[in-house]
Amino acid sequence: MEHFFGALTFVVLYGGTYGVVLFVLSIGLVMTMGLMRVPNIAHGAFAAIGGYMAVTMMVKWGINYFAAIVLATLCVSILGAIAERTIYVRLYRLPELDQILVTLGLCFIVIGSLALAFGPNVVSIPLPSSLTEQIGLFSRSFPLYRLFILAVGIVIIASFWLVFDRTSFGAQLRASVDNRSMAQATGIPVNRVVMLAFAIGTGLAALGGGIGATLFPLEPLYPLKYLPLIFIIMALTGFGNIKSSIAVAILVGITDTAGRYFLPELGGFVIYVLVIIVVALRPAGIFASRRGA
Amino acid sequence: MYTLPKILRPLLQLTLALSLISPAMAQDPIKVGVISHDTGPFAQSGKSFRQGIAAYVALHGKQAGGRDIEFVFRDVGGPAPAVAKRLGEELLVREKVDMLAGFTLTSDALAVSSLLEKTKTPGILFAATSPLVPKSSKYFLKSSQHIAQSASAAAKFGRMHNKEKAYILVSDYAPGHDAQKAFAKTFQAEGGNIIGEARIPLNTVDFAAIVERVAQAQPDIINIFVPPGAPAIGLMRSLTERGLMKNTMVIGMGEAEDYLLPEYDDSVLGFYQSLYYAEALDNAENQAFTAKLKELYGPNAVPDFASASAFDGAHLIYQMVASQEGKDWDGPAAIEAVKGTSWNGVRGPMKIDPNTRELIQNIYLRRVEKVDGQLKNVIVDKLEAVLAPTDEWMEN
Repeated sequence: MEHFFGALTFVVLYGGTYGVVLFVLSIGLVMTMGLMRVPNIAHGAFAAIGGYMAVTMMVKWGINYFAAIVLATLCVSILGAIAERTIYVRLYRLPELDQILVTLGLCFIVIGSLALAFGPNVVSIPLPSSLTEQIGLFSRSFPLYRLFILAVGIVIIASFWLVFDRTSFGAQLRASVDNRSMAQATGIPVNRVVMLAFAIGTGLAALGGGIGATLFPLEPLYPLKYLPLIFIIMALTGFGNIKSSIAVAILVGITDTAGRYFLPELGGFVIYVLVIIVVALRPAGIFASRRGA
Repeated sequence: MYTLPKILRPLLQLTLALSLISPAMAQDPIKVGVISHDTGPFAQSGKSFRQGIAAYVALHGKQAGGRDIEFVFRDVGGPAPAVAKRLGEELLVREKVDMLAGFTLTSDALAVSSLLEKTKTPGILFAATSPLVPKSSKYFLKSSQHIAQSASAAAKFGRMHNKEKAYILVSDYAPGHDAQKAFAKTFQAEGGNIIGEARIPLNTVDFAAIVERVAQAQPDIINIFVPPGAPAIGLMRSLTERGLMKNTMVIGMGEAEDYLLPEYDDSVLGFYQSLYYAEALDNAENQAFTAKLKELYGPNAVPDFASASAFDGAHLIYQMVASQEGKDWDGPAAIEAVKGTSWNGVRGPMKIDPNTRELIQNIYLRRVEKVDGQLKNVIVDKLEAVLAPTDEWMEN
């Protein structure tokens, strides 16, 4: 019994933390996809820039881990806002293929620049000693780092809920996602909402790149390497169902971890089975509402 | 649409015209085409090949057997066997190379093997370790290893450390399968038990789940084979988080060479590797090689198995050219001439087995330790003159 609880705790905690990182990495794309209908292939690039920035601040300037991650998140969200105003704003009226070409090109530029600046190999993020300790749960130990990720995830999810449901920005965002032209007609400054949402999304991606750097090691190919995972979350969530992406990401994290734990050799494919089933049965998204579909 | 500025056109035409005029040579040099990767996910190998060759040339000159030797490099740029084949054709037909070398991936070598057969051109394998490659053409020679040499040696080292229960974790791709088989077979033959084996998909990001499974099987030795970079770092961290690095013997092959160690945190401390080369070897050849690398590429340059293979491979190429001194270049004759030859490489004594064309060489056991505050691979043991297994052994 104790063994069973150990395994269960393991799957929930590890799968949950994996899911939280996936959520933080992909939420920006879910938002911008819903708002602007731009498949932003360069989304992972912002996460990579955030991670590399955090590492540089820590290693070169000796800034504390937590401060470095916060700073990197802020810097990248400003970068995101600038990119939205200068590059992405030109894409909205273009056909999808052009949008994909431009964002993929951006992605390649970032990959090349990262390789030039940091070399082709993995760059490790040094964790503070407070996070490398172990903590006992159900007669076995878990690293504190996992709990830290879980805590960050809970804070982000809670603040998301608050912003989304309780602020006028949240209301404007929901309106713009659901029906852009109607929102514009009622006087919502959609362009500003889009820019802010883009900045928040890229900032969160950078946060994911920073806190997730021990799970998703930083390397120049990072922006493309983890894109399939981000796209899986987006496909399962559907267009703009921002809130449900939390549940989707955690479901993906737990399914993946459980699959790999119980069926080590086939476990890597469990997640794709989930994708096939969901896309076949609920193409609008796993928790999408039926209305207006 | 943009058009080429007017001034660029004549310039381009001139460059093109100049490139078509080949300079006349008093005596044709021997040209060696090196097929490797300078860009893409395997770019490290290209860098290492260039460094190994450059160090050899700097130490031993540009000539062997009275002829100049010239290296021509080509970049495959990713896992693309078709590109490797096209580059091989281009090197043979247009550059008229006398030998090919390099070959980062087994698939690169296999793609070029039919060209070697058709043109009777020798190919020197600096990295591809699969037993399939030498079988695909009789014109292949190796300066790397047979993958089972290191994998079987890992099993022997484990038994020498009195380990009884092994768990094998390999990445789910051909080299992983070869390594898994060789380790399992040797470990059992030496009296140990395999209590679990798993092939991990190459796309694995979070290794915690599989490591949890391994921990519950309670092995006392864990053999791993995963590509260096993100997968190796992730696996190492998970093994340490679960306390396995401390309580069991974790042994791999080339996952944490010295140049990779800065990528790791202290979770890699205590990790064992079994391989045909070790940076810390103190033989004269390796000392000279390491010193030359630092002279050419700065104080932080360190060798790795790929640059060591390129260095020893360059030696083999020089030997082959020297064997044809005073004659017209004859590739097959040069291969015959070096079969059975032995010399001291940077890895220690090495010999080309005349029957299999594989190398007979030492396998070293290294352990990651902290030396003066820095992570370093320290040599703890070695097996001398390890033979490559026969095809029958690998197949059964």
